[in-house]
Amino acid sequence: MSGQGNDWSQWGELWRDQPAVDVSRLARAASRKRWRMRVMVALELLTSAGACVQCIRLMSITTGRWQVWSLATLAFMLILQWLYLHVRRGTWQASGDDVHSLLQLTLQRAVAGVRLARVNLWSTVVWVMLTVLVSVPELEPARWQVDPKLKLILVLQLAVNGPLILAIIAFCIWYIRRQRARISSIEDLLKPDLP
Amino acid sequence: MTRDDRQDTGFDDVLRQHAGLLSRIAASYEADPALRDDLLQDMALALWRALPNWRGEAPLRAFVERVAHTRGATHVVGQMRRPLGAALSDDWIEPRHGPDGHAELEERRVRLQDAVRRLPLSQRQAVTLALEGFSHAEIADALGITANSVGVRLNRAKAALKSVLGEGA
Repeated sequence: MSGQGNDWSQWGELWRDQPAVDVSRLARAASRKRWRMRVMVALELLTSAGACVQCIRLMSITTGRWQVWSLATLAFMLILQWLYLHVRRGTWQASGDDVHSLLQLTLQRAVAGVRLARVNLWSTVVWVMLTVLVSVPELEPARWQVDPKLKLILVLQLAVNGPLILAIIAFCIWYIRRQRARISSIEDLLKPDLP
Repeated sequence: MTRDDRQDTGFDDVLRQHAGLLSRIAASYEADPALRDDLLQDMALALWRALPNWRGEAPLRAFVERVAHTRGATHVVGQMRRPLGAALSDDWIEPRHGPDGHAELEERRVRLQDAVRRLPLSQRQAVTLALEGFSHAEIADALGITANSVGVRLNRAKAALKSVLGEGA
């Protein structure tokens, strides 16, 4: 056997001689991940479906500006859902593709992800502005000060949607930064790889 | 028995047969023990998802290797700019040698794993396949490149490995 062959066979023996894995523990851990994944998907689908139904219901019981607002909110939610699916697509991939193709694909997705997150960020801002514009008559102090029900709705909207909007904006900014770092990392990995 | 149950049963068998292979590939991508545990679980999960796509056109071992490397590469992209080296954990492993022999073997193995982790991705994949005992033709088939390119990658990797392992070229 050649010296080169000897090196590989010695390294190979050392490599393959690694201690055995606790397969039962690994199988249990993998099984837990599978179920967690299924539960998360089910919960997310239920939440999205519930929110869509609520928007459609609002569209059917309101008229004029609030009907337009319901339609815009429905569109906004669908865009948001699209972004989340896009973000998760890489981790869901059941791929037998080669590593180089995967890196190319990941690079394309990261670039698309940045664009998508920008769209999402600005659409959130537009949605907030649209909501405030549509609500101008209800926001008049003369109206909500004499209407306890309207006051409660406004307080609830501010308490629930305020933090939610801030969280969405923070997520988009974090996601764009992360994707930029990812793009740079993938480009580094792709550079010196091929003989 | 439902389709999901059948898939889970088949997967458990495949996982049992290839857990060692997955563990070694995980070690070639991640030095940190906790993250490596997590990567190994993710590789198992990726295999569970990919297994229904395997039609037997390639050996199962090569398919498992490819899925694991794909997940490993995704992990590298996700864990950017972290240091490469770290101590090997005993969490997942069962000792097979005496304390002294185990320690010495462990040290040599850690150095080899560390050296493999420092290789560029394409070389790393070719090297792990070679270390697993795949022939040049099988590696070429698994990576979709020519046997000549496999030779070039392995030669380059060999020089890099010798340099990191401190062996004469």
